[in-house]
Amino acid sequence: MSAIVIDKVEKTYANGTRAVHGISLNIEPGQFTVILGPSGAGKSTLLRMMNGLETPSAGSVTINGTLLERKTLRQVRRTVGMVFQQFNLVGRLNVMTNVLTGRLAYRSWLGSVLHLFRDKDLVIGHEALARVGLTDKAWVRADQLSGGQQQRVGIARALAQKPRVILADEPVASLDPLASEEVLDLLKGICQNDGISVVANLHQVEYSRRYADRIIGINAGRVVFDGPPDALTDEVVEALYRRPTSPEEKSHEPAALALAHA
Amino acid sequence: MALETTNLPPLPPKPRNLFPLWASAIVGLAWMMGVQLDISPKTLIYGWEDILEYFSRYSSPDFSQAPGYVVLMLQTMAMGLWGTVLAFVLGFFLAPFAARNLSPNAWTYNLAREALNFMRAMPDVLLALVLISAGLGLGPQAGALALGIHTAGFLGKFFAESLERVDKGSYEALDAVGAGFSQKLMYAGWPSILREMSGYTLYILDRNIRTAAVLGLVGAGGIGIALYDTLRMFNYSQSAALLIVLVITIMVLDRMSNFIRSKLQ
Repeated sequence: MSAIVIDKVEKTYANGTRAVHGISLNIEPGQFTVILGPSGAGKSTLLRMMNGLETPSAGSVTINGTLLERKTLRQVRRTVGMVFQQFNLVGRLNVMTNVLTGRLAYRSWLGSVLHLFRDKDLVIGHEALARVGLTDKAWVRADQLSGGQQQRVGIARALAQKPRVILADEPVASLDPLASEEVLDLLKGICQNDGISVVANLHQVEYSRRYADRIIGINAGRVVFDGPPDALTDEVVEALYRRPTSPEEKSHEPAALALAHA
Repeated sequence: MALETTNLPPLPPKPRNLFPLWASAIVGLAWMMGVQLDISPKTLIYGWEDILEYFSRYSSPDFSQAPGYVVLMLQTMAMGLWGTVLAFVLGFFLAPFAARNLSPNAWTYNLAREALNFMRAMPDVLLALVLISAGLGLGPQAGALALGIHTAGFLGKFFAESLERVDKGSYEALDAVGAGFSQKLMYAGWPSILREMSGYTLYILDRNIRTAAVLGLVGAGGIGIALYDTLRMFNYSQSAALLIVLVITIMVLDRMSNFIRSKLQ
């Protein structure tokens, strides 16, 4: 069974922007899938539809056999971890509490409202922190950490969910090269050793070639490439990143030229 | 008119500069205020002498009953404190529903906002009078309740606006793990605004203690009622002593709340 089944999904925003044009995809379990494409291609929208942060205008998303809809939302999200470009930690809370928020969907609101966690959850949080190598920072405030460390806390939070899928939305776009590789190595290791499917949005071709089992190229809301990293030739990359020439830009040129000659 | 810039690509249309308009509007309003309130330089100068003469009557404060004043001041402070506690509790529970990005639906959002608007719109002096005549009787209970209801409107609105300003990503991360409404509040909302919250609450406490002194004038007890009595009997020396107690208390409170706020940073 596919981990994620995306069926003819479309997304048109209220302002009329069409971000995704009828995409169908099956994401296989245990794979490191990279969605590659220029900024504004609709990668983020596509990824965010996989855990209901965006609702598709048409089509459906099924995660591990459960159709994503209003009443299954919480149940599905519980087993889908998400890693964000801006980490999205709560800076004033300590690292451990940030990691333990990954357990919240398993607890009732009354059982969690006082920030008290069961020993079982603490063990899970401890394991997750050890996995990302930050046990010594457990009681430090999250906003005291470097960007790379914060992203690792973000990954630990996803791990604490005991997820079957981790979605990573531009996980390294705000990090320097060294921290980027640390984070991607970590995600790759989690994918290979723990059998968790990882779907990551990236805009760097190099990283995609190095880490992906499968690359899905997206441009202007459509799938323009789907295959293993070897098949991603330079020509394909060039086509993927080619800008759609907008009529607006063209129309400016003659005017600018006319002025230059005036 | 062939300026150098003709070779450059044209700039986008220039945005309108509204600064002169605003500046003249402010000057115009100031002038209208002068006309409406009938303020002329003459009245200001002659009035000044009268004011000075009146204030000279307060020049010899009489502290013979100082212990009593301190008890009255404590009563006023208690009125302000319990009013603030009530306001905090009401604001804490109403604010999440009055925050656009957290409220479960448009109904709860509008309902919570209107409730806060209503509380804010009811002047606390009026509320105290209503509560006194509605059966609570003369005394600080009515005052505390009135302050609580009125300032809950402020605290609720402040909290709601702070909750709306919290980084969208923090809420989104909680959504993504499948957390519910109260969990989002307890793990993203409130922790992120802790400092602003305590700042607003300390400000409201400060304000409520000052207002509690005024509420005394309508029969809600405390130092206000004593001030009212001494003023009514033209007992300027005792009034002066009461005012000094009040002013010193407020200065100490201000220092204390500044200190606490700086510790919270």
